[in-house]
Amino acid sequence: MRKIIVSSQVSMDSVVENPQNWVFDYVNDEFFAYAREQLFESDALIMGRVTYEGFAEAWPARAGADEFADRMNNLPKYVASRTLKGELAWNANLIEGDVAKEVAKLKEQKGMNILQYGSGELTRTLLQHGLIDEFRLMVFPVAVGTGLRVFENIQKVPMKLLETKSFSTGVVILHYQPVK
Amino acid sequence: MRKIIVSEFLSLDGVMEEPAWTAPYWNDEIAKFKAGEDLFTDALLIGRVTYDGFSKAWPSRTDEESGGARMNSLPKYVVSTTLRNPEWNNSHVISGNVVDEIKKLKQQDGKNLLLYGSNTLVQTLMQNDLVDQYSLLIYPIMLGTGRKLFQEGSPKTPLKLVNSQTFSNSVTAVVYEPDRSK
Repeated sequence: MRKIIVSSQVSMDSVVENPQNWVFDYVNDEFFAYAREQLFESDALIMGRVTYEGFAEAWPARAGADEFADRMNNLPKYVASRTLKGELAWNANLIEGDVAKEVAKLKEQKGMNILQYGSGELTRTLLQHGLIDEFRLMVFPVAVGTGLRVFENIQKVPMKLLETKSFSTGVVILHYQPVK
Repeated sequence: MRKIIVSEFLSLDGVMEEPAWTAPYWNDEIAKFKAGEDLFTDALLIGRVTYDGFSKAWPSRTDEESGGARMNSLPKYVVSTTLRNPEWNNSHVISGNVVDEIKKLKQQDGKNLLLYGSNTLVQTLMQNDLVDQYSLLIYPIMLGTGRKLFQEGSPKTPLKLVNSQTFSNSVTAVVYEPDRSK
């Protein structure tokens, strides 16, 4: 069965908003290698409408820039939305009907991991239905002070730590599995 | 100069309020980590709400093993505008000029000042760049709600990771110091 992996960049004070303002001091080869491995172990992306609209605008412009960008552009995407209709750009498919049921079906298909970047309403829905296999945090060594925090209003859920490592820039990687 | 060490239990989503949820995770590894903090500390800095809880819980625990003997004997600097006659042994109230008084404490000879809990006081320390180290235990649980260590409007603070370790119960210890070069 395929796993759903939720991967978030967070500041040390749990902020997820506007990472472009604080990640760049701390990204290096170790970080890129980690991000690349994660993407190449996945063969589909899943996202909510808000992330989709941002990504579908930003990523096509990077086509040909590197393997990472090409894979981002080429992978199939599954988008949860109540408002989008019909054909979607950027190799994206609208998840129609009951999101939890449809995502459960996706997981039963053969394939690699299904990756969600960031977390939001879709994450809460998937978590409620026990569909998330792993939460991965990349914790950046900066307290940002302001902005949306990770996992706001999520249900209380205990986790098991699967893996941890730290990079020379002070980024800490934490992989957790929700305990059912 | 003495350092101020902020030592907290945090959920995965940064919540520190009422950490009763940490109790099931207590083990020898965590005890050892906390004992490591004690080695370099010879006083507690504490806010009034945390003080109220501690000053009820600790005096009856007088043995070495629970840490009670140490907690009861250490000097405690309590920041409060209302506390008049603190009864817990070796307590000293800081009731005004808080930032200046804490700066004076830092300039005294001695080991570090350790702070547990004390959310409101931590905010004051952050706003005045008085925290020298964050010693954090990250618990493997998302709470979704509750007061966070870093509240909205905290100053932006670049940090250096000085230590990280993982325990068998999925708790992670991370130690950061402000990176004042940035």
